Amino acid sequence: MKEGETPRIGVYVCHCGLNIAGVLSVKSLAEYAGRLPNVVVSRDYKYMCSDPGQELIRQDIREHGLNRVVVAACSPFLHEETFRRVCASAGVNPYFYQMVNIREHAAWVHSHEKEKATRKAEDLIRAGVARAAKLEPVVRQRVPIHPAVLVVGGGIAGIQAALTLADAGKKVYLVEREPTIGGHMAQFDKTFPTLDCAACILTPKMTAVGNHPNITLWTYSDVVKVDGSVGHFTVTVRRRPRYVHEDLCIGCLLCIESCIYPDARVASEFDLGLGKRKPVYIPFPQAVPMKVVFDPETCIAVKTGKCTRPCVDVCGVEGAIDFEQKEEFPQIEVGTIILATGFKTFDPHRLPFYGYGRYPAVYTSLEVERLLNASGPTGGEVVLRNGKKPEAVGIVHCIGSRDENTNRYCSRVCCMYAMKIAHLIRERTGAEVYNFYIDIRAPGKGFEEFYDRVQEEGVHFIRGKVGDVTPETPDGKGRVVVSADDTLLGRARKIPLDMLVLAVGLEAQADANEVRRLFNITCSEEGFFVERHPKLAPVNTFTDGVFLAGCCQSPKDIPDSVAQAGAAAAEALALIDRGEMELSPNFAYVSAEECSGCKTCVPLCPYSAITLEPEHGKAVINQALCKGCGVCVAACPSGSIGQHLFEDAQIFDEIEALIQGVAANGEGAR
Amino acid sequence: MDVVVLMKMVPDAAQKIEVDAASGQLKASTLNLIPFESDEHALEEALLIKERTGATVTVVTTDLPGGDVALWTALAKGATHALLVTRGRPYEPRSTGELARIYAKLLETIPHDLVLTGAQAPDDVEGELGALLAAQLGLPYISVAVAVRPDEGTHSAEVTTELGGGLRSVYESALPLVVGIQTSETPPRYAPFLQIRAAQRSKRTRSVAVEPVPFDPKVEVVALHKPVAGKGATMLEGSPEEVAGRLVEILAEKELVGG
Amino acid sequence: MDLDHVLLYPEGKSLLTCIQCGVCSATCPQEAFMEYPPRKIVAMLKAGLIDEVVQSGSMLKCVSCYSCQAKCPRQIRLTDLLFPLIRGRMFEGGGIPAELQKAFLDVQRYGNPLGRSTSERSDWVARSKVPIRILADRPGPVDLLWNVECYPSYHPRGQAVALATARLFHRLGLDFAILGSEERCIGDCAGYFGEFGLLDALIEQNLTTFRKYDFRRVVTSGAHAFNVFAHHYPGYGFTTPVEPVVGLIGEELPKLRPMLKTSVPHKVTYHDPCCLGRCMGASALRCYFAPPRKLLEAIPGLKYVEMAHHHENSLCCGGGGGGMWLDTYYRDQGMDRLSERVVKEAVAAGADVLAVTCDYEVSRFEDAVKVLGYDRKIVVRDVLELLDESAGGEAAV
Ligand SMILES: Cc1cc2nc3c(=O)[nH]c(=O)nc-3n(C[C@H](O)[C@H](O)[C@H](O)COP(=O)(O)OP(=O)(O)OC[C@H]3O[C@@H](n4cnc5c(N)ncnc54)[C@H](O)[C@@H]3O)c2cc1C
Ligand code: SF4
Ligand code: SF4
Repeated sequence: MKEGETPRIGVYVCHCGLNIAGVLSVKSLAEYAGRLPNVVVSRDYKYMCSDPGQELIRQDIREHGLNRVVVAACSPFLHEETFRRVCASAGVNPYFYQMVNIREHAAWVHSHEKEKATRKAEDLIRAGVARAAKLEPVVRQRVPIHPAVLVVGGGIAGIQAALTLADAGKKVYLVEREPTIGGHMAQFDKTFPTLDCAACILTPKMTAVGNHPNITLWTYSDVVKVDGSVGHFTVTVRRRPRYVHEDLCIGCLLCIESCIYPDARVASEFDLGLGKRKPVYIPFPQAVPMKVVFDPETCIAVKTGKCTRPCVDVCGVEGAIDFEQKEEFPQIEVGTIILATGFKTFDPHRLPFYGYGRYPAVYTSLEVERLLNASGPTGGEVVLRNGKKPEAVGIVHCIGSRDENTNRYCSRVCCMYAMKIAHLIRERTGAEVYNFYIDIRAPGKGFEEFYDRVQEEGVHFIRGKVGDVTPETPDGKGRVVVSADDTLLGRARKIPLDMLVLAVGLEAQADANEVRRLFNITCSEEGFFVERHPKLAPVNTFTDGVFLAGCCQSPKDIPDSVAQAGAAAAEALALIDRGEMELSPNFAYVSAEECSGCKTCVPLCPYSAITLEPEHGKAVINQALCKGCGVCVAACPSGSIGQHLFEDAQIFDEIEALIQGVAANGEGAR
Repeated sequence: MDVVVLMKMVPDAAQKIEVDAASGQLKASTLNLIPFESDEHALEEALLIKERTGATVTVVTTDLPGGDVALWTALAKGATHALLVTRGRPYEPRSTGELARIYAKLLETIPHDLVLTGAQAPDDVEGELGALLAAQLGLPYISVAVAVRPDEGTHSAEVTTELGGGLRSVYESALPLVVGIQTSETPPRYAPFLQIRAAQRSKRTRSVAVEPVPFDPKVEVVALHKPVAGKGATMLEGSPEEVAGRLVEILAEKELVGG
Repeated sequence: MDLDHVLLYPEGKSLLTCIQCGVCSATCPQEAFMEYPPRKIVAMLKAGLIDEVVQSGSMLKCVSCYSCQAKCPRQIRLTDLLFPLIRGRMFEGGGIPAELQKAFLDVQRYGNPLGRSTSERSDWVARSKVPIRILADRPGPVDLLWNVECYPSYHPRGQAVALATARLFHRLGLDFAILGSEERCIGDCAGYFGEFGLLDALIEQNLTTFRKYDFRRVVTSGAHAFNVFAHHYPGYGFTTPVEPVVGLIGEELPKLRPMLKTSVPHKVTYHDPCCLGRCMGASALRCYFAPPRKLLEAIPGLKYVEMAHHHENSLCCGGGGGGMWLDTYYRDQGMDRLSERVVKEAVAAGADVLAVTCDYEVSRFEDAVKVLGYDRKIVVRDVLELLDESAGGEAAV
């Protein structure tokens, strides 16, 4: 439509089968619409979204010279895009299209009062038509996409995403906080439900990451700053000094052997304190990169400089060990980001009555994973802190899950890993194993079969959560006696155990909130990152170009983490391969003449999209970051912020038309 | 079946009671009046009868301090009616005979198949209230009862009383009948506070004025004093072992245990 | 709120979320004796069968120890709401043992469950060597109103603790006073057994008394009274800060420490009262696990040992929720006494002194010691008595 051209509007009332036509009188609605100002044609049709329905619109545009289209049908979430495309294909700017939702807002909610519902639909259509007359053409902006990708977190999810992208020929930066990649999976011995050896399936992938020409792997590092938006992020990474030059260290580990501490004395983080390491160490034998770390807390050379440094003498590579190494802050340019920061396990100190930390017989499941691991502190043997082999072992499900006192949600993997642990302990020790559960959740492929198998192996399943743990002897050093209500027997059970395993739940990382702010995304109350849509956009976030993979989004198992990582990589690839991205037309803009630079809007923007341009101190909105929430538009005291698709004139006319109805129809207008 | 329970407010012996030296009477400020315990048992017995037979239970007391609370409590426990007898002048706690006459006069106006009252109130040591009342009304009287089982069909009641040494006797009597209750078959129930307040708010207690009946008491209280500690008692002192040893000696001396 | 309408209230609605995990029954110290332990009660209530529960008398055995409520993963208000409501219903059909009824009647009449005269409530004060101000006699502003509570006022062992407490207050130079014969039961057994009307009446009466005087804070001897102050009084607009005596003395430890000169050469274990631990956690208020332990450890010569059940896992003494007056009933039902279990644990831990801070406990545990024939093995002392002893006792004031 040219400037000054009168609007010629076509209105289409959809039956949606019987969804709408079963309640509203669609014929009379079409007739009503025909009498509204500027409406040139109005029709009703069985399915407007069908091919013939779409063709109807195109034909009318051609024959009646329509320059606005209004479809009264379902929610814009469903078909707004469909009809915009129809307009575009007939040569009308797609933003001259207006959707009126008479299905959800009239037919469905008022199915018991058909007459009134029809009148409400009339009001909605009248408002839509009034708005349509004020629509303006919008041209969508495009931004180029830098082809490099940042993956944060080197657990199985991050590894999978990085490899997928790198194999597709894209440049990947993988930033991992710990000295090695691998995440939690690297700590396990076997994985449910197939009992694959975790190392056998994980280490090849880890090595592939370490050797991949397209992957830059930065371990012992984290992201400290993110600027820019989709297509062109500038990211600053902090690389902590490991006091070894990674490019020089060949991973011979001679330094570890030569350390002046003859015995490993420091509690190993990777073994959760069950094993010991030296001040210079690698977390575990298959670590990637295979480069040592000098722990600044315990290495005397780093701490005081007063060591004789036998490690430096023994090192065959000149300058590989460098106690003067400093933090570095490299900057990288990437177009997209995949967050795969994983989870942390629930700390059972928060439920002191389970005796964790009080009685040595009580373990977390992750600790037991280390005991079961062939490269763990006991070489895969299940031996207790007192050196004995357990004869009776209890595993309590839902510690820190499904509990209003801790976490309300179900952690999804604990039932399965608890059965895995039961199987492994029984296999290695022949102990009697009791699983105390509330409900067994085994809804994955092969999961129920695994449950059957473990039951057949003679693991006892007691439906009732342990409510009390007491030591058998007052010193607390021996067995513990657990009490549970066997709800299926309807009887109390008191069972003495050599080992009590707490199946701890999965929680968001402690720093989730800082990471969320850094990447400008949202967290749920529990701290898990929020996806854009739980069903339709599960790996997208509300920030374009930032994707999620693995347990940072919600607790899940390895198969799901890997699948999600693949999906996140595919989303990034799609953007990169398109080369550019169309930005949403729904964004706010500042009219520079009117802006007084009062800064009211800046802190209000939930997406940090507003900055002040340095020269005149006026607000500027980054179109790529703006989500069109409208907060700044409403807040601007001088009214100098506008928003495409939601211009004041459009909204006022829409409201005006609605109010007319209220005045005319009385209560029918509501 | 109509059961009437007569309740009496008596000084609470758990509180410290003092005798006023000047008047020789109990010091009013130290008195806390509560329903006499056996009267509470009489009420309980009546409520048990109500539960078994659907009888109506009418509770009566005089307008002494606390009398209203006693009636609300009775209603809260399940009594059907509650009557507060007012007489237009202060009550003198010693005139049981007068009280019997007043109750007799009241009972002329209300239906009664069974009249229950506690046996032997502190001011009524011989249990004369029930007997005097029965005499006034010309009804049979059985006292120190521990169970009352009325039978509507035969219009009679079976009354169990307790004799010394664990012996029990069972009487059968035609109704109407006056019974002095020693204890009820089950301990008196507890009335939750909310129900007492609800009874209070329900305004279900009725006041009835009974004209004073001329009465010439044959007994007069001359003086009151606290019980004097008797002689005869020896307090043994020392460690438990010493006390026990001494006790054995005494018992042996008196030849109460075999030496 | 009553039992028929619990589901109309948010606190009651949470019942519908019960997942039948059985934690409540598993942790309940009385479970073995209940026909319907807590988990089943919730299921019965959901199924509309609660009358059977009321008739079963299972809830007479609940000692309001808060174990179930503190651990329930659905935060269902079992101890302080549901179970009192069920017991409240028991008043309608009888079935409440006479000894407990008598306690309630005595509280109604005399403001104490021992059935003792109100005028005798402050008789113990005459035996104190340190001055104890009674507000009715000497009104005027005071910092601390000390709520002495019923057992310390009337029970001989409780009185000994009250005297020791007064000496400690005096030594610390605290400005304190008591209500004397105006003091009444704070309402513990009424509130937790479901005699809500009586609780309400007691609170109203106590607040009327409090309003007559000018004090800045309240310190209360009893763990149970503290619990009622913390959970019920704020609802009546009473916002004055309340501390249990151990909490207060715990804060004064730096001042007290130099006075603790006499060695108390004993192996001491401490019993955490439910009402200063778990109960407080249930409503996110303060728990008092640390102060008594710190105080004990400050006593020279004393060696501290821990029992098997402690902190939030502590075993109830069996006196809560009316249990104090149900010992005969429990015996008739063939039930173990919880107080005996605690004493056995204390002896097993190698202690020769069982230290307590709850007003019910000195007498309960002393009975248990006698019944078990442990007189020569262990004695029961209040933490305050031990502190007083270390500070020189009566001779040193
Ligand atoms: C005891 C236990 C047993 C289990 N057993 C099984 C099993 O048998 N089978 C199965 O399928 N699943 C199992 N699981 C689940 C499994 O652990 C997860 O599905 C899987 O680890 C998720 O991988 P991830 O990469 O999302 O997270 P993680 O494994 O947690 O990896 C996240 C990585 O990100 C790094 N990181 C975190 N924050 C940052 C940051 N800010 N910057 C840089 N790096 C960061 C971490 O250091 C870590 O390396 C088990 C879980 C537990 C607790
Ligand atoms: S602990 Fe709570 S959720 Fe579990 S069974 Fe008991 S009431 Fe239900
Ligand atoms: S409060 Fe204690 S005694 Fe009562 S049901 Fe709960 S756990 Fe059992």
